[in-house]
Amino acid sequence: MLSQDIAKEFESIVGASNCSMDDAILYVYSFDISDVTGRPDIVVRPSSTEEIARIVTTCAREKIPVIPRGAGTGATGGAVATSGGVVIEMTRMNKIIDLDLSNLQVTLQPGVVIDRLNQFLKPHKFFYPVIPGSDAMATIGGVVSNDASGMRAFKYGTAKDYMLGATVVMPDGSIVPIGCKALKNVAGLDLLRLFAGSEGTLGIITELRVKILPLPITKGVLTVYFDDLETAGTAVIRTYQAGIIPSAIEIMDKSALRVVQIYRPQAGVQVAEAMLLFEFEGNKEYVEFQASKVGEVLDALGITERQFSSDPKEAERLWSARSTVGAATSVLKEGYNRVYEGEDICVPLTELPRTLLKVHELQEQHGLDCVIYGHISIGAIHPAITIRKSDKDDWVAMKALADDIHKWAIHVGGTVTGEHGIGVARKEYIAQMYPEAYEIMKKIKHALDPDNIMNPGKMF
Amino acid sequence: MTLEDLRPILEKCARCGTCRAKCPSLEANEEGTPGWDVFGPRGRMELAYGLLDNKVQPTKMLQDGIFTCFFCNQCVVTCPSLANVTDVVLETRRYLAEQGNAAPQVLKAHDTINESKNMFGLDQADRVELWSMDVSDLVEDHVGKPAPTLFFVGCQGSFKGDLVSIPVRVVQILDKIGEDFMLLGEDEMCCGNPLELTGGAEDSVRELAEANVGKIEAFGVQQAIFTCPGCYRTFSNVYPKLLGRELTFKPMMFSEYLLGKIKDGTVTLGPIDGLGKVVYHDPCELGRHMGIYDVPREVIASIPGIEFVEFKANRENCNCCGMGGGVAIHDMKVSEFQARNKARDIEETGATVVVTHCPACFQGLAKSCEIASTSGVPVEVMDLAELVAKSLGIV
Repeated sequence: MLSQDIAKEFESIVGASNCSMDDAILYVYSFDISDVTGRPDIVVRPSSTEEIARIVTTCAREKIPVIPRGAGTGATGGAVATSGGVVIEMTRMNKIIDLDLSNLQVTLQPGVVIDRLNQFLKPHKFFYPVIPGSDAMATIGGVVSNDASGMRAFKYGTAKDYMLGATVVMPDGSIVPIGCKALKNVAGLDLLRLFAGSEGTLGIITELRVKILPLPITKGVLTVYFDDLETAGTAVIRTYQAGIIPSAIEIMDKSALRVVQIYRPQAGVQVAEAMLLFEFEGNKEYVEFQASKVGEVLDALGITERQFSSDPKEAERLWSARSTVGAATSVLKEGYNRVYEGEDICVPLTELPRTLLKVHELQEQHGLDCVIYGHISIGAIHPAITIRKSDKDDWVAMKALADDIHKWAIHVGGTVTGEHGIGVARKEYIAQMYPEAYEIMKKIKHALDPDNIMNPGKMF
Repeated sequence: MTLEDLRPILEKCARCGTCRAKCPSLEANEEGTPGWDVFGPRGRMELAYGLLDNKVQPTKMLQDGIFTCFFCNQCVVTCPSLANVTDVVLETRRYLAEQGNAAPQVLKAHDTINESKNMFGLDQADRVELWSMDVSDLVEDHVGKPAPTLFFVGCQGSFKGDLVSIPVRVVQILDKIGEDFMLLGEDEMCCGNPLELTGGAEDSVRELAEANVGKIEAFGVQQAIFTCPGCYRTFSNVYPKLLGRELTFKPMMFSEYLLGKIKDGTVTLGPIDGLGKVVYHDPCELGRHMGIYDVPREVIASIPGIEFVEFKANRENCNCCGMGGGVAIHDMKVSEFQARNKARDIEETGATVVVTHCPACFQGLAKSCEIASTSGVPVEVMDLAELVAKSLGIV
């Protein structure tokens, strides 16, 4: 329980209207999209690096847990105050500070929403390529802190690949600038890559400088329908073997396609065992060339059900349907709703075909419905489990299914999380994945945050 | 409906936050930056869930969160889980108000409507006189005289000084067309929309529904014309549910009536000199709630030579003016902050006239236009009835 004196101290830093211990506020900030919950003692909404440094200095002195939070769209409990403390909500810090087109970079605050950044860059014909499905609401601070990626990860990489600089408030309240303006930098240990994906456990990123890229001249999308999941997985591997690197390859299984038909009928998808959505970028000729090469791959696999379009509106229709299919899975069966567990595995490409089958086999074993979609281009699969939220047995079965999915991913040499992070939800698996490396991570954590005040209970 | 009935809707919510992206009330604050999560749809869903399971106290902040939803329906339109957030908000308001956990001005508004049968607490006997002083010759023969078409004026047009031009233009247009129409006069009662939106008792709304529908049906009315989307939605969607039956007459917006007359050749609109660039604002209760986007645009497009532009966010994406959802009753400041946000949309268009089809929006947009005008080009708000009256040479 936080003392009134400490609360007053926070209030004096951020102002009374940006500091709350109101029961309604504390309750609403007890969640992210996972089923992890935890009520903070106080929520503050700072507007500057200096304010955050002062807040953290107080927390360091008083050994109060500090939980950074963006839009609260994380899926692991990463922004949830599982042991009380101060939730620092970053959404007021949403300014784009500087655009340096000549140096391909933009400086901004962590509360900027990804889609807003890209809308800002669009007239300049540039974009920030780290575009998760939640780009309409996810903040760049959260995206970087979880090293998120999204639908174009195979071609464009993940958030850490675009980090050029950052200002970090360390666990003792000191302010540390990291990186430089050069596009390439190997001076010393790569702290940018350490903080990207550290889930707020090592410090708080309060300002970022990220690399941006020119927008592609044009795009084309190829939708392909498959009679079996396994062939869809094989098609991805064969595409790369044919020398083609699409900007995205997304998968939706039969259930996911049904979801889209209900939620976004205007997308015009058909129902099949699986659909792959390929996206190609370049000039018109190159886009068509890539599509034709993938066409040859598909012909060889005997897949003829496909459609190519270079119409941006058609592409937008398909992408908007795909980007929210995860949250839309609740529409599939009345009374059965989406929970986020076991939802972010990533496996080696060669393991994709049997992993797709395995997830279906596991869901049947546990008697639960599971919609599969994901960034198959990179082996990332999002199994979306739906349950009756009021049914305790469903929760037990769901936990068991998620556990089996995670264990399978580790078994085939993959990971329990490709982009959503560890947080609380997947903490038990990190030591299973790499026990020795995890010990080193813990030493780094202890060296930087000896009192364990930065987002305690997450990852470590 | 009870709070418990909300459980299936609340369980649908995956807390994905898609609704955050478009919710106007989240940024309707002094800074214009995202506010506390309780001011967004996801937060409101959580609060309702918390109340239902007795996990959160009905604090003033909770009331503020629940009562500052503009009822714009952006969250419902965008929700991937198809969760009807606004149903949750309305029922939660009702739950809170029943227990006295609503702002005094909200509870007083309920009493006012219940006692006066209008939202301003004025004498029902003045329902016609206040707005029709300048057109009494066009009105007196139509009050309480059975006709196939009824013009349901609504409380705002009847009693609010800056809005009386709306019913005036409507009767002038109906007269010019030669429509056989009637008015209920002092028998017209509040439709119940402000009660429904701010957590008033369902029985009170039902009582108003029975009174209004009883009168209208007794006159053998075939179609009822509205200039207020709130009244129109209440008659079209709420009354049949409350009364457990369909109405015997057809509710229609004035634009729908007009478009029919334009299409059958009864009405031919003429050019309007010096009008400038016109943009149309979609009222939330007409657009996202009732799906009417094209009809008003078609009426406007029927005016020869009109220079029409769209908001960047238009139709189902159109941003609320700030006057929706009874928020102005709970906290006028929140409405004014949204009017300021809307002013930015207006400035982007370069329009000199913002046309709308709703008396509440008219008031919100008047504030927005005032703000937008300070940047240089004067902008005025105009109701669709006024625009058409100009086009017909009535004014």
